[in-house]
Amino acid sequence: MANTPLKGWTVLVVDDEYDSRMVAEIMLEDAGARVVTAMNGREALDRLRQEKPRFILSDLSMPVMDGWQLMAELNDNRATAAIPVIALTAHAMVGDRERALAAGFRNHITKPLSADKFMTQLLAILEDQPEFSGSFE
Amino acid sequence: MTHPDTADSKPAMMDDLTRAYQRIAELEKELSQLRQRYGIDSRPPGSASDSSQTRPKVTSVGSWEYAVEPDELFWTSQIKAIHEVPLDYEPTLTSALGFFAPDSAEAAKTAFEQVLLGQSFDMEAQIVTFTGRTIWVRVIGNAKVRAGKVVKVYGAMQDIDARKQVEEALSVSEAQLRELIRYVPIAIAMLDDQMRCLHVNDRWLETYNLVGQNIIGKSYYEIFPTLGDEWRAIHQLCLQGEISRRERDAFPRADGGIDWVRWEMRPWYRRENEVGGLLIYSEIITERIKMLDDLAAAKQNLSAVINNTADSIWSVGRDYRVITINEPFRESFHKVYGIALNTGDYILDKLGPEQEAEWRGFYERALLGETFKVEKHYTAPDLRFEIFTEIAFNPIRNEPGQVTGVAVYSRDITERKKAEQALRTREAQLAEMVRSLPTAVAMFDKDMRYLHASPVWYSSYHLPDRDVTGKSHYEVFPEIGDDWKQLHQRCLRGEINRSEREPFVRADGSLDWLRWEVRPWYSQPHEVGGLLMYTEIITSRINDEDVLRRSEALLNATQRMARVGGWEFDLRDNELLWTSETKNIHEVEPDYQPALVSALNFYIPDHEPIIRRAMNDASSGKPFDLELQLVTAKGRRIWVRVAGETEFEDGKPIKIYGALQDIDDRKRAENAIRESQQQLASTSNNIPGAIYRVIIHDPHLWTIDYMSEGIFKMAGVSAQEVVEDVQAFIRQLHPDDVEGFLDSLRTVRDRNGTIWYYEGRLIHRVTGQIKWWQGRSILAELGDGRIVFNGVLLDITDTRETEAKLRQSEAKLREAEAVAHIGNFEFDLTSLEIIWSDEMYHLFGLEVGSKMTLPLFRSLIPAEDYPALAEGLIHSRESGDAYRVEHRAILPDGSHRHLYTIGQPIADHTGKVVKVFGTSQDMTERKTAEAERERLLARTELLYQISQALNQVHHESDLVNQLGKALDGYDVNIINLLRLDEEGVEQVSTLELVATWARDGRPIVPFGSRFPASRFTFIESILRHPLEPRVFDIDRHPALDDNTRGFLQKLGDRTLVNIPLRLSGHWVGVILLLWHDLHVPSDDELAIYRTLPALISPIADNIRLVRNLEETVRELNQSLLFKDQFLATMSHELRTPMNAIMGYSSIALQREGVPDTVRNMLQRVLVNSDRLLRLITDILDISRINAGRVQLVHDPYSLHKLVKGWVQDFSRPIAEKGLIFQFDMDESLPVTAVGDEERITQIANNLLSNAIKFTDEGKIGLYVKRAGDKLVIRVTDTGIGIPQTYQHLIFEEFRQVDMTPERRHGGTGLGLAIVQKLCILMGGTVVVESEVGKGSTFTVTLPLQTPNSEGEGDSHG
Repeated sequence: MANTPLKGWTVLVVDDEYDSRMVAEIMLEDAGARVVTAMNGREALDRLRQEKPRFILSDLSMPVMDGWQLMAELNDNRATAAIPVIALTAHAMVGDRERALAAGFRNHITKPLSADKFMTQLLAILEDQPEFSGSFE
Repeated sequence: MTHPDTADSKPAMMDDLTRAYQRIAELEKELSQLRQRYGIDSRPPGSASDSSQTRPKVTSVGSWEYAVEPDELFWTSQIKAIHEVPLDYEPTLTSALGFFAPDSAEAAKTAFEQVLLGQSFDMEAQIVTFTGRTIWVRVIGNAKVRAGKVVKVYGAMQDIDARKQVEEALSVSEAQLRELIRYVPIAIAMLDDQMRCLHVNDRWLETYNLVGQNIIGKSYYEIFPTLGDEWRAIHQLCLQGEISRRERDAFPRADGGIDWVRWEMRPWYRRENEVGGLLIYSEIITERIKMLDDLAAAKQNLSAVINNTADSIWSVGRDYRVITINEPFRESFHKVYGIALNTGDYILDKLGPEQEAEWRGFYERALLGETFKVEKHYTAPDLRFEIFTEIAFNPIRNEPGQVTGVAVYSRDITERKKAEQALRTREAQLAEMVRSLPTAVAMFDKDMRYLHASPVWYSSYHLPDRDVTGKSHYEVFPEIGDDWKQLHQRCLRGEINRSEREPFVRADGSLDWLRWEVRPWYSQPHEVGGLLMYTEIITSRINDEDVLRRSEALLNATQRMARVGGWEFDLRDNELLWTSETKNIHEVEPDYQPALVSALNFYIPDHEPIIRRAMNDASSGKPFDLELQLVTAKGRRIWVRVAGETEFEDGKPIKIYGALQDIDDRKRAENAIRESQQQLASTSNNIPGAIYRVIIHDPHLWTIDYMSEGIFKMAGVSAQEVVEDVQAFIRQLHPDDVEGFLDSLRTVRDRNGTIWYYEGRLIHRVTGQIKWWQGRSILAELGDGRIVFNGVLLDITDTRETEAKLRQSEAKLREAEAVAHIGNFEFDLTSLEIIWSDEMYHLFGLEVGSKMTLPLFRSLIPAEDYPALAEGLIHSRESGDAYRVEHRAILPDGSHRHLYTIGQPIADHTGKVVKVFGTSQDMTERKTAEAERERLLARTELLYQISQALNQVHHESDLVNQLGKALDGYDVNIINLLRLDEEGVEQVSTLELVATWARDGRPIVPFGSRFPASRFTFIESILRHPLEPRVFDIDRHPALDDNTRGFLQKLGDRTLVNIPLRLSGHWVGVILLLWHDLHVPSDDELAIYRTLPALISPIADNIRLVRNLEETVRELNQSLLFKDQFLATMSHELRTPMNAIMGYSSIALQREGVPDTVRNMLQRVLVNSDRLLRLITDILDISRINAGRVQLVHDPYSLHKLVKGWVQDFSRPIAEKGLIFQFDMDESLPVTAVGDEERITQIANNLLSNAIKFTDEGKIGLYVKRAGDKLVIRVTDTGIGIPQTYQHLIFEEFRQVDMTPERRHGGTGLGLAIVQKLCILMGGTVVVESEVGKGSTFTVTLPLQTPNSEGEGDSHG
């Protein structure tokens, strides 16, 4: 891929479902990112001890520790509170998006994902966020 | 008044003249050449005049000639010019006579017949010229007789049109003046029917030199002994009702001279048809007659001069020497300059320097080739009259066209000028006269057009600031009826019509009484020029019954009006002069000599400084005009108007001239008016209510035309509100009255009588007070079918209340009479004797007639009541006032009777109280009844309170709480509700509340949730066998078992009351009331306890219903929650596998090196995944919508941005399918709208997707418009279309037109269903128009709300 806007970025993808994790991972890697994955919130927190991702893509419904709890944990910890988290979920009912934003997620992307739409959406979100702006080449 | 055409006819004439002059000049030149050649001496004397006589007379006079045999008429060119016919016109006698105007034709014919008999004529007649102008001409005819037979007629004709017109106008205007003067009241005398003087005015006395003589009461014939029988006859005729007048009558003066008098004599009426005597108006018009005579004489002189002055004609050469001159000019010249002018004289040096310059100018202009006219005005020293001339200058040209001299034609226009001037003067006089008339007078021409109208006319007929001159009377007053028009026509034929009193209804409906007179005025002795109308509004006077008094008032007012005196104060010698009228006003003797100080002292003290200051100011030049009060010499206090103005000489003030007018009557009237206005104002302010004017347009429409402010006091609404909207009034009517009130208005027409009457109530908007009101009106038809009624809306609340009170007290009295036994007594304070009526004995239960003494009486009154009686008696004796005492009487059986005793002390002639009369009344029954009533009232009150309290109960927990509050007065300790079931007695959990717990702070001791009934047999029995409420002494009552008793005693309770509770027809339990102490409920209290279950029953039902409802709602919510959760899970679970499918496919598609076949397959995977995803979304949507779980958001959004988004989203798919996308958006749409952005987008998306799906070629249209407060979204396509029969089905769920399994178009068939459901949810609609093969149009109409219109929209909703 010639178009690698996320080159040099580390992104953490959290999802319990294998295929979902893979799809997101491949798409992000295709965009040039280095992807770190976790199967639930607990694992994600473990990963964050070593990794400093530019942002996190997290599912909401997961065993052990779901996306909501993860969000709360991240917010409680000063070291992680600044990392932007984007919900990536199959919850597409009215109100889901609002609930996610209220919980502290920077944005909300609904599944299913298709490669081109996902990147367009993601880049638009990143552009809108002040902490991302101008960061990618 | 110059005739416009007289000047125009001149050029032709002047051309002739000029040609003639040129010819003469040529001839003369030839002649002189011949003379020179043959040595003949220069001109013989008289040659000039000879030549002038041969020249044609260049005036507007022509001659004619008629030969009898053969019948031939000859006209000169001048006559042809007058007739304005071509020069080759050949007249005949018949055609010539035909030129005469219809009015003159007969006279002309007669004149001509006469001349043929040998009689000459000279007449003025009108002809109609060839061009149609009507002009005045003078025609002269002389017969030539030969052998006794008329063989020829020679005649002349002159154009006199201009003069005639001026004369006519003059005579018309003089006639107008003459007519108007009649209405200027001059000298007036009033006589009774015995011809004795009742009243005369000052002017009358002056006129007949009778000033200072007392003639009142004297016979007219005694005052004027010279009056002959003919006068007596006239007087008698007048007394019989005739009106006599003479316009000009000789009246012998005392000094032997003769005065001309204009007089009028008319009867006045004491009553209708009863002549009270005569009114004589007269005016000395000697001066005027003399003036008219002078004028006539002057005119004669003038015409003499004019007759002698014919037109002057002369000519001068370039050297200003006279070439030709005619006799009239020679004469005129001589007259003006005193010099004889001859041919060949240098004309300019004879005129004097001023004239010379002017005339040189004229000649030079003409010599430069200009043709012009000037008017000149001469005042010759030897003539009494001035001369006006019109002088025409014409250059004389020779053959090559060079100007060789000037021909001058001068015409005397003095007469015309004079007439014009006189006319202007007369018209000015006339206008002035009309302006100054104090009555309403108007003058009309024959076509009823206004010529003049006096200011009073304008004001009387409400024509402010409008000039009606020249306008038709009927145009100004379109309401004038045919009867009046006919009357006007009769008057134009010479009738005089008048009415002494006539009602006149104005346009605004008000009524005035008029005195009027309509008469013709004459422009010629026998020719009516038009009408003269005179009206006077006599409304105020007509009310006086006595016409005599009316006349007196009129006369007195007239006289007083004239009471204006003059004064003069000389600042140099401080001399003050008063005219006799000033003295009259001051009521001083005629020989009174005023001085400034004494004059100022007449003024009342308050005003004296004012007039003094004014005089001071006036002496330095400041004029004044004041209304002040003075006290006359006879002590009358009157109002006067005093004005002063300073006269200066060499810049120094020398005199103050002044006038003094008695304006007392006016002042008084003004004050009276002011007073009555104040009265009116205070009356209307003090009317307890409001004045109204209601108009009923038809049975269903009425309006309040007027309402006075009093309505606010009555109803709390302003007058303006009710006038603007009758509903504002109706709203304040008592609800029970509205229908009746409206009905009374509706049926107004059906009523026989003409009076509307209504009584009802108004509720004050602010205070809520109920006011009784009464409306009473007399109805009047407005003529256009509407009914109006004026009246007073009276506040009769007080009356009503008083009536009610009266009725009450009457009832009371009757009751008292019926019930009360009243006894009379008399107590003699000296003898201490007591006398009782029979009833008195009855009251005390004693035998009637037994002896009553003070000690006995005392024994009949309880000891504690007696002092009050004794004190009352003593007080009465000392003060003389009555006493009133309530006391008891001891009856023989020892029982008591309540009595009410009133004692009235009676004094003897010395004022000492000697006796007491009194009554005693049995109060026993009343006392008992009062106590009973109070008890019942208290009980009712308590029950009311309880039911009020229970009404607030919505839940079981409140029941006992509220009950406790309601029964607080009985000091109940605990209230419990118990019920029994198979397992035992249950204390209903929510009834653990104790009414007084909060107050006492006692801990609640619960029964425990359940206890076996067998152990508490008392409880069990009252539950199983419900009894009427009973009171149990817990310590003692045998019915209580030991367990129950012990338990209750432990709680510290001493008294128990059971209240069996029946709810919805079933015994459900018992309420226990517990007291700490021994409580013995009264009968009333028990009655209340008995009533309690009935009060609680409906409330319990409510409680149950509410509880059931709450449960149902809870269950419903639960199931809905489940459904929502299910749907959410479904969505989540379907989307997760979709994510894998679509994710991998899309990633694979992006990879390089994927074979095209695989790429295609992957693409199909994606497309189908999209479709599946859409199906999932749609199914979820429709089920949520169907379940009513869709919550519309109501937020502001950018409409433009939204629509632009749709366009962006769909441009590509439309283009990809090879279709054209047409888009249009209304500019008037608001930038920001309020609503559910997402749902509107969903609608648009579904419609656009559908359109694309079903369209293979052509175009897709998206049109967003505004229609009022609606947003219209229209999506069009050129697709396959929908058959008519299916159009109603497409909005149903899972429907597509093609339902076969092989259908070409995919989709769930849910899209349109969702669109329709969303539209309905938003309060909008979606409709389809479609034709198979042509395409479809879907139109969505949604309410358009903007952030501003939101509130508005809601209120419409």
